[in-house]
Amino acid sequence: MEESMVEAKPEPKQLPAAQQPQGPRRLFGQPLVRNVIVGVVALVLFYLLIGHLSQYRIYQLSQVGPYLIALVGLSVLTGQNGQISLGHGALMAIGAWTLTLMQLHTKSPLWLMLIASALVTMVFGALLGLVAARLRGPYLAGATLALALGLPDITTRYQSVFGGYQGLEVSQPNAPSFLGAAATPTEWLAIIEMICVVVVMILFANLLRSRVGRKFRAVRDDEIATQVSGISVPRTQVLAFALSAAAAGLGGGLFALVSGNVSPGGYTVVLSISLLAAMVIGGTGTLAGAVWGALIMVYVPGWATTLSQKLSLNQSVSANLALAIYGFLLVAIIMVAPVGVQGIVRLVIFKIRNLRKEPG
Amino acid sequence: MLTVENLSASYGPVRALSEVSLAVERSRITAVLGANGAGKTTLLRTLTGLVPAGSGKASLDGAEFLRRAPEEIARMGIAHVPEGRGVIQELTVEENLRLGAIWRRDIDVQAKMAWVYELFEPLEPRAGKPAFTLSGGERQMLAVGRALMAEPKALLLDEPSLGLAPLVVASIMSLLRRLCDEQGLSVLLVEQNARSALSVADDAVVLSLGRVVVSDAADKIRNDEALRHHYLGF
Repeated sequence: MEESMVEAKPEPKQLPAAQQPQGPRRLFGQPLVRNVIVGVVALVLFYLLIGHLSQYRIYQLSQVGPYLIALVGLSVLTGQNGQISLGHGALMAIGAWTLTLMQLHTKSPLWLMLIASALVTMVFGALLGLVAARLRGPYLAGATLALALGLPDITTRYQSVFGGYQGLEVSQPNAPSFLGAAATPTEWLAIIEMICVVVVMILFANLLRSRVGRKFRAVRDDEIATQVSGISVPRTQVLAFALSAAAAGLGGGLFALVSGNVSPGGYTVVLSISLLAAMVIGGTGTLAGAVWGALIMVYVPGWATTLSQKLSLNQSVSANLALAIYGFLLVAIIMVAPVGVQGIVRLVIFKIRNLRKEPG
Repeated sequence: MLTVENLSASYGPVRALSEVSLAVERSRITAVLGANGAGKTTLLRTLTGLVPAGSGKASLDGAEFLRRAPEEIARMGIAHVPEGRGVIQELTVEENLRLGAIWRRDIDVQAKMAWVYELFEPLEPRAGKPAFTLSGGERQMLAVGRALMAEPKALLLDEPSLGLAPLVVASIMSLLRRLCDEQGLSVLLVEQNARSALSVADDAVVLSLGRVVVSDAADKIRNDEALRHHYLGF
């Protein structure tokens, strides 16, 4: 391959060593190795951490995982590919019911059920992507909103299959024997989630560095320049939607496991909008932003409730006050950090680096 | 060789191109001139599939390409540098160049990039910088460089001189001439700036209200005072 180019250009300019391609680096290059190491370290730290937490804290922490995975998908779709989705709550629902129905009707192992929630939702996401590729901006928001509003009703329309308003029970998996009798189902679920989070983060981090990631960003920034570069805009958009939906589906499957049941009330349009808000607050388009967003989604409402209860008001006032505090905090974060929490983190890191560079 | 026969296109009920015909041989530059609204940009956009073509034919080396999807046309070897630079702002200079050859797995991207950096020297030190940090002239260089990454046979440029200083325009034009000769490209150069386009072009086509009103050798048009006054304003 290189020899054919030498003819066209007799004296190829040598690039600095750092820029030289290192073999087939597209998938198995250094960034992947680095990400895997970071992921494994995070996994080990997480395992050590849950040994020191109460069961309730672990349960709370395990709510972060599903949101985090769904947010990674949404953030890549919106931040990297420029497509908005108000329907990711509904996509989570598809993943959740896929896992639940498989658990109910088959004897599949857990890993298969989780993969199936991702794949089934990916198919739905690809179909949605076909529609989305023809729509832009507010029209796309409207179409995905329709999904978020309509899908929960299907579960009540076909009660015998989906369980109606009551929903369906989901049993939590027991820890395998090699972890010892000490591991409770709650702990085991937290570990499963962390594994899923690490795998999803590594896959998406590498995807965004690859030519697929470059295509996503090109489509977001300038469709005409992208098309004339020989890239199909609709195909790229459908791919982005499908991958994003797969993440949402896996998140939904895990969410069903954590909640112990699935019912339409858990996957209303409010969930879709909360995901969108968390994405913006965390930092749109970044994987780290999805982590912040998921933490905020799980912990901030809890703090708001604790805060309003401390004021010893009557029950109905304190319940509403919790919502108001939550809303106020979201507005405050947006005003302080218009580019999200991750934007602030980056700015701080940048400033610290600059301080170090300044001579004494 | 790029051939266009009786090409027509409309925006709804509004006719934008009427039976435009032209031919650009290899290693030749044809300038497309005319006032605002004459149909110059529409001609390029119709050829690259961004505007649906009405009637007519267009082929590159005998292969029909009209009415295909834009990305397919690009993959047939027709590179379009759209008006207003056509670079992806948020991607780095290097990523933009890689994008240009993203569908070609048979070329050495690294060597091709080195070649582009040699053509456009100001780009190399900026390889890792996002494209929005570039000046207007550098963006134009990047847009042309991106178009060249996939080794096209035909290069369609839409107003490369737009908003650039005369000196920068002159250097881009002379580079275009060199590229065209060295690579055997067929170049279709749409320009508002008739004087600089005619200085490098072999042939020229003057459009008015979507029709070809003059089609001749560039130096003949340059020397025809009446025509210049009437259509080109200099």
